[in-house]
Amino acid sequence: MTAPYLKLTEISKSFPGVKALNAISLEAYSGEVLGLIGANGAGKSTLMNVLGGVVRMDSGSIEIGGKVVDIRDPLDASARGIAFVHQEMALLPTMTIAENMYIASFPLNKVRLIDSGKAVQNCKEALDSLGFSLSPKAKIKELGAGDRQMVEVARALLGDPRILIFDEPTSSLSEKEKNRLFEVIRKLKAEGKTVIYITHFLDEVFTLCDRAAVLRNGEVAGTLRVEDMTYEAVVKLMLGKSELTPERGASGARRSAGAAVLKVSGLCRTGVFKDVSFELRSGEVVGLWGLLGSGRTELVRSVAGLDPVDGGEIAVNSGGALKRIRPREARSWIGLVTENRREDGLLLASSVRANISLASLPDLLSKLWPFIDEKREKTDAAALVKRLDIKISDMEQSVGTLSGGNQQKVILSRWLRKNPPVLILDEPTRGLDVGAKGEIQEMIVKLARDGAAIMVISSEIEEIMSVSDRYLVIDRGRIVAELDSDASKERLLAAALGAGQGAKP
Amino acid sequence: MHQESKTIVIQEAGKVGKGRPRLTAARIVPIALFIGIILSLGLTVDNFFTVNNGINILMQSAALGFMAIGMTAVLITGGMDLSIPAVMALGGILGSMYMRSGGDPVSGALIMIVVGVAAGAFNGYAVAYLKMIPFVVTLSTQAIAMGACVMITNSQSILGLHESFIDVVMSKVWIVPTPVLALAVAAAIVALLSKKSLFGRWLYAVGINAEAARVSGIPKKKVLMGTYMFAGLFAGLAAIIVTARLMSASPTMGQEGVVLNVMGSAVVGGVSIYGGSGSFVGAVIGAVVITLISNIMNMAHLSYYATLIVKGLVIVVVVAIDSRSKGK
Repeated sequence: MTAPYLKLTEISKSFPGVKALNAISLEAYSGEVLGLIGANGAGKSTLMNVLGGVVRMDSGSIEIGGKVVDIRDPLDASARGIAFVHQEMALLPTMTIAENMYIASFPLNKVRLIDSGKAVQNCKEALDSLGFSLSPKAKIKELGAGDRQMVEVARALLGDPRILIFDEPTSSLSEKEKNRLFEVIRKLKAEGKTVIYITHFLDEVFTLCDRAAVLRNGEVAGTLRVEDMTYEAVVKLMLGKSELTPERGASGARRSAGAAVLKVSGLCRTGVFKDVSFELRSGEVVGLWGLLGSGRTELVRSVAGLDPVDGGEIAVNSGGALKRIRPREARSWIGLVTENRREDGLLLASSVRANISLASLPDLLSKLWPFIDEKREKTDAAALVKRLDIKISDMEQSVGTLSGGNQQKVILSRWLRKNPPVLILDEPTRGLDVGAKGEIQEMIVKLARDGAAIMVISSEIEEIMSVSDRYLVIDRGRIVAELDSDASKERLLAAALGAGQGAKP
Repeated sequence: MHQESKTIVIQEAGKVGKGRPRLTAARIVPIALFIGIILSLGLTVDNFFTVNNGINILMQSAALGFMAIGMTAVLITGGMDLSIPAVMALGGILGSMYMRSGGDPVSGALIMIVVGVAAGAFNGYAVAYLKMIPFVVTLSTQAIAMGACVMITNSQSILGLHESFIDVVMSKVWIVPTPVLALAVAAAIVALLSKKSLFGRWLYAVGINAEAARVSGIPKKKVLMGTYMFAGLFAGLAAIIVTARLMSASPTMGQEGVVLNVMGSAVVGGVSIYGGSGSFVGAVIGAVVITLISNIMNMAHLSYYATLIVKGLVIVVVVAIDSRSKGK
């Protein structure tokens, strides 16, 4: 075999408190597509940022074409022939394709003004070479997601790079657009370019890649040739050997679930999720398990009545029977703890008291006056602060000054104060330290034991396993599996990665 | 001497414990400005510290205070309402025309209020339900209302208001003019409601973090709609005072300088243009400060345009302080 075109040796990078990359060694050849797989936090982004000159590595070396190179900044990276096609589309919607492609490097005419004729001409050629026939004068906002992705590819190819990195390029593409993108990538491969393809979706690796490297905790867990690859093998690499035995966490034995409290049937939102049906029963915690970008957050926001739906039914238990409600009404039945508490959870500048009572102010109106009964507001909030052991110095302390764990408890208190029949928690422990994590997880289990119907989303498989009584697995907007509490980690991960519906078993 | 006392105020403000709303620079500036102006006036103008003069200035601030209360509610939501003075003028003109044609004063006053609330509903619907930008919506409403005012009146003043209308509105309780009393009562009620009523609490919540409020089940759209209608209501109330004081109505009541005064009252009164904070009583004090600034410049024989420059500068400085304190 020929020498690798790109060779990474023992690359390490630490951020305060985290070893993001630990002696990563990786090789990629000309004319191959290398898949890069790993759970969130495995180090994919950091590694690519090192290659792109966005962050500097602490130690290690990068060789391109047999020469050791030093990549100091993004300009350096592009000078070395490395180009990125980003997941987030960084295009200016009101400008044309040609303007977007040349925004950083417009061709100039003799008097140093933009030569737009030449830009259009060059753009046309670039698009043609990708087999892509759209007018360079079309505005980006008029294009669909797939066409935009093509413009990104064309822009990345401008500097004639030798190494192309695709970061989850298919997350917003339709099947047809995806196939067209794959055609383009195969063409680039045939031209002898080195392609690194980052994805969550194993079926894409099977159809597109020659080899795949699996990252875990900042290390290369293994590299597989696609011929030798199975879901089981990848899952094993992603989880690591030490964690192979299925374990049950704090929830212990399966709890007995009560009556159905929420029934969702055939819920759809075009382009986001499709035909979602499930039931939530009182006394149980259901884990909604899916990878980032699987549509899990979008789904629960719609179920909770925050985002619109295009079809389907939501029914809630009202006085013993399931009653169909309009999706917009769901907000009064379902409490949602959103994944980003600082953004759409807390009133940071307001007091602990005001944050706890926020969802239940109408219940706090005094019987005599059209005023909020502040005494009751305060005593109720104080009771919750005590019950959840929230560390504050004063009920009037502003929530912005609390630690993450205490902030999250304030939001939980808010919903406990309102006490809706259904509670959905999206990444309830994100960014919390281990102690606070455990506390929140215990609280979730305890709430269910007291009769609440709870759905939990988490990116951490250990967390979702420690609280859930059963699992719904979501992949690209569809519920693809419903698993019991005794499902193993491997089974869960394989299901989320698309086993059973992908191209290969 | 002056400098020293100011520093002390700021240091003490810093000591105010957690929980209580901290006295930020944005809150101190209007008070300092207020005291400074009063003192300098008192030292330079004869008979300044007389009861009559005080009442006079308050009387001149009354209508502005009503409009500032309306503006404050909208600013708290993070929006703005540039149409308040124009709507006030339109309401005043329609109500006055009704009275001139022989209508009774109560209905005349009601017309002014209804016009204000209707314009507020228009603004509120566009902002809350059509998700339009408040600046654009209310600027357009302002243009529409002003255009209507001029067309209806042919730029003439509407005279011949019902005498009992003027008499009642301009009456005095002991030595306090009714509009001043009304403003004080209105400010007190609104301040109380803003802290204790459901709507008041929702108003601040939407202003602090609209998305968090929505997630918590607060009917954000209704709150916005209600807020703009509230601003319209107070524009209507202001119309009653202005027409009675001028004993006429004309399009000039809503001229561009008035928007500046209303906006100025609110921001000088410590209302943040970023939404989520500010008090109604502060806005009313701001209205008195703005009136004082106009007065002092008048007495110094400076032109109307010079006062515009000064008031514009005052607003920019206060907003700049507010921005800095918020770290924006």
